[in-house]
Amino acid sequence: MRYLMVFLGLFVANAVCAGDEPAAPITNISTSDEPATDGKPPAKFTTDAKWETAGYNNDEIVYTILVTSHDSRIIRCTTALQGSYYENGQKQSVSDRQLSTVFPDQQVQVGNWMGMDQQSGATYSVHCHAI
Amino acid sequence: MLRSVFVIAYVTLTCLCAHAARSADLGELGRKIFFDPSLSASGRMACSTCHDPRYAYGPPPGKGIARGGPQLNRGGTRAVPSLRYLHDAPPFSEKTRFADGDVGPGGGFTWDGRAGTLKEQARIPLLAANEMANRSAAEVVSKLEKSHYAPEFRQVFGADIFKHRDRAFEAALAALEAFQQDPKEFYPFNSKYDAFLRGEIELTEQEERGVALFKDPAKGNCASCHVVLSKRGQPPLFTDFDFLNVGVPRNPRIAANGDRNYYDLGLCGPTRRDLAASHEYCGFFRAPTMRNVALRDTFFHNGVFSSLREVLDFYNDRDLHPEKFYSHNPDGSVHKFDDLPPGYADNVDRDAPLDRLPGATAALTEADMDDLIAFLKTLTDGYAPEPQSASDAAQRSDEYAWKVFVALNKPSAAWESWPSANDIFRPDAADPGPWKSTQQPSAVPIGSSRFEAFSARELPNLHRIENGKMVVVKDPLASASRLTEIHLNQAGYEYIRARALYNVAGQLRAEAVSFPAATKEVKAKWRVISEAERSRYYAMTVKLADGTERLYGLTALHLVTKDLPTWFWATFEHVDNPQLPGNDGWQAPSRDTFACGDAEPACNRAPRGIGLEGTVWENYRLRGTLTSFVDRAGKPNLLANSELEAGMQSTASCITCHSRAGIGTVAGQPIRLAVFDTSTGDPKRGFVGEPRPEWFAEGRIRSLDFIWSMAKAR
Repeated sequence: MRYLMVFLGLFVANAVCAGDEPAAPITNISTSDEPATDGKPPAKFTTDAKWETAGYNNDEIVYTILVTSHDSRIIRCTTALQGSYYENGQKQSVSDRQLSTVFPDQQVQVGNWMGMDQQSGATYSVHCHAI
Repeated sequence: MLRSVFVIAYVTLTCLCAHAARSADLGELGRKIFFDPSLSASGRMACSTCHDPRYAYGPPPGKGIARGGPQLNRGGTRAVPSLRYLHDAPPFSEKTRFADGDVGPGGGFTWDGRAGTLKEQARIPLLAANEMANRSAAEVVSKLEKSHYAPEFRQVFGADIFKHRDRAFEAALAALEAFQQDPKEFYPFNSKYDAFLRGEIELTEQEERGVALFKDPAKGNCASCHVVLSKRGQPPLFTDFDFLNVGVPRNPRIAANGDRNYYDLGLCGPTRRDLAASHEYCGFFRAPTMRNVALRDTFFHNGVFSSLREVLDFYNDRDLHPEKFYSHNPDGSVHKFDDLPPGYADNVDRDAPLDRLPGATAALTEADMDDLIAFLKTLTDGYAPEPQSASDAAQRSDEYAWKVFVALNKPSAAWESWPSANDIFRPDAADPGPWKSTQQPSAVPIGSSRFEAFSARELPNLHRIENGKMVVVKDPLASASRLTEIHLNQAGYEYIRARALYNVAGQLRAEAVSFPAATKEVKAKWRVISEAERSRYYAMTVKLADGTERLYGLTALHLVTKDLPTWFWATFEHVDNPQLPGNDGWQAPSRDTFACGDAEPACNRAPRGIGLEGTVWENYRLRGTLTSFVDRAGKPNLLANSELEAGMQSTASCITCHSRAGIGTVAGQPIRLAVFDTSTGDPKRGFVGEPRPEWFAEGRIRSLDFIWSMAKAR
C-alpha cells in the first residue's frame, strides 16, 4: 500500500521548483555556474526535486532534492532551499543550505525537508564544482 | 429420633457453612492486604507491586529486580519470582525423591526454599529492609489497624485481635496464605497448553516441535527439571521444585554485586543460613515453573537475562562460547562461572544441553530455539481461543467485537507475535516461510519489521522546522511520535503462502482470492507516552537507533475478521485519545450496545464482566463495528478511528475502502486502485457506500478480498 501511496503522491505533486535551470521538472544535464578557476572543466550534474506524500494516512509532506553526477570526478555541491510554512495561521518563510559530496556517476539525496507548505511551493538552487 | 438427625444435620451444615464463609472472608482479607501499599515503610509498595496479577503475579516489565525500602532506593538481590503454581510445592527437604529416582534437595518457597509454607514466605517481604521494610511485626500490625479493612480484620479474627500484636501479624500472614490458595488467581491452569491437554485445541506445528525439543534429553532436556508429567490428575506444573546450579553469569545490575566478595549462593547462603556448611549445595537455586515464563523479562535467580532467547542461547552456548556470557579476568581470559567463588565450579550442572565440550556442536539450532519459545508461550495463563462465528459477527456485532478483543489481547496482545505485513510481503518478494510466532524483545528496535516504515521519518538526511529554522533530524525514526503496525493471523498467513500471494506475480496469477473464515487481521497504532501514563496504557518499550529507549502506549486498534464474506470490522481506541494534542476528537460518537445497552450506545464505558476490570484494557473503547456497506436506508455506513483515520473521519468506511484492494495490469504493469478519492480535490477523502462496478470494469482490477496490505507486495 505504501508504494501505491508514494506513487499517488508523486502523481498529484504540483512542485514549484527552480534550480539553476528553468522551473521544474529539472532533469537537464547542467554544469557548474562557477567558472573553473583552476583550469578544470565545470562539473556535470543534473538535479531533481519533488514533493512526496508519506505517512500512514498520507499526512506527511516531504520535499526532496536529488543531485546526480555525470562527471568522472568527485564533485562538491551546495544546495540552497527556500520555502514556506504556517505557524499559528501565519505564513512564514524558511530556508536551508546543504553541502553534499557526489561521487562519479552517483546520485545523492541532498535532503528531505518536512513541514513546508506544498501549495506555497519551494525553490532551490544547486551549485557544484569538481574537487 | 428423626428430629435428632435433623438437629445433627443442621448443626453440621451450619458449621460447614460458617467455615466456608470464614475461608472466603480470609481469602478476601488476604487480597486486600496483598494490594495494600500502606503496609510498606515507603507507603508505595504492596505485595502486588512486584507480584503483579497482570504478569501472573510476577514482576511487571522492567521491575524484575525490585527496589524497596523506606525510600524505594534499596536494590533487590534476586529476581522477583511468580507466585503462581506454588500450591503444590512440598516443604523443603534434602531428601526429596524426584520422578527420575534422584534424591536431593527440593521443595520449599523462595529461590532458596527457606520458607516452608506460603505463610512463612509472606513474612519475608513485609520485614525485609530492601522490600516493604517494616522494622517489626508490630509495625505491620499498626498499619493494619489503620487500614480501611481493619473492621473486616476484626470481624474475621475477633474484636480484640489488634491488642495481640503477634497473633494479629500471624493472622495477616494466614490471610495472605488463604488468598494465595485461590485457584482462579494462583493456579488457574488455563493456558493454551492446558486447552491442548484437555483436547480442546491443537497446537501449531511449531509449538509441537517445541514440546518435543523441551522433552528431548539430547536437545532442550528442559523437562528433566521442568517436568511435563501430570501428577495426581493435575496438569503439569513444569517444575519438580528441584534445586540446581546452572552457573548463570553474575548480574552487574544487582547493587550487592558491586562488592566483589559478595556471592548469592542460594541454598548455602548468605540469605539462607541452615545449610551454610553444605558446600556441595552452593549456587543451588530452585527450578521455577515454566508456566507464564513468556511474561517475564528477568530470568534465573539473579535476573541476569532479559529474554527467553538469551536464556536458551545461554543453555546452548555456555560451554561452547562462554565469552558471550561471562566477564573477563584481568589477563583477558574468560571468567567462567563468575557468580561463584573459586572452587565451586564442580557444583555446576553438566547435563544436556550443558554438557558440550569446546568445539562440539550446539544442542539447539536457531530454528529449535524459535520452536521452543513458541511452545513456552503456550504456557501463559488466560488463553482464549480466537473466536469465530458468522452469526455472532452479524447479529451481536458489538459483543462479538469485545470477544475478539479479549481473545487477542488478554493476558497480553497475542497479535504482536503474528507476522507483520512487512514480514509477509518481503522486499525480495520471496516466500516468507512457514508460520512462526515471534517473541517480542523487552525493548523493540525501532527498525523492527513489525512497524510500518511508511513514514517520512525514516528517510535519510531528514530536516524539519524548529523555531523557524530547518534542523537536521539526527535519528529520523527517533522522531516517530506514533508507530503503526499490521499483523495477520496464522489462517490468513498460510492462505497467502499457499497461493503465493506474497508477491505481485502470485497476486496477478491468483483467481478468486477468498481468505478462510478463521482469518484475522490487526492494525494498531501507538504513541509516545510518559512513564506516568504507563499504568493506563498497554505499553511497549522501543529502542531507538541511538540505544535510548522510549515508551509507547497503544492508542488504536482495528480488528478485522473474515467471519463474514465482506469481513467483520471493529475498531477500538484508548479513552484518552480525544484529548491528545493534534487529535481531531471523536467526530462520530462511539456505538457500543454491548457495554452501554441499546438505549445509550455512546455511553463511553468498557463492558464489565469480561475480565477487563483492573487491567489497562478497561481504558479502551469500542468505537463501533461494520458488517455492511450501507444501512437499511441505503446510506453509507461509516466507521472511523481518530488515530488510524486521522483527518478523514467524515469519509471513513473501512469496508468500502478495503473493498478496493485489488490488482490488475495496464500495459503489462501492475496497477491498483487508489486508496483515496481525489476527484473532489480533497487528498484525504475516503470512498464510502456500495462498491461501484466500474472500479473493477472489464476485469481490469481483480479483488484481493479486502486486504490492502497485499499492495505492499513486490
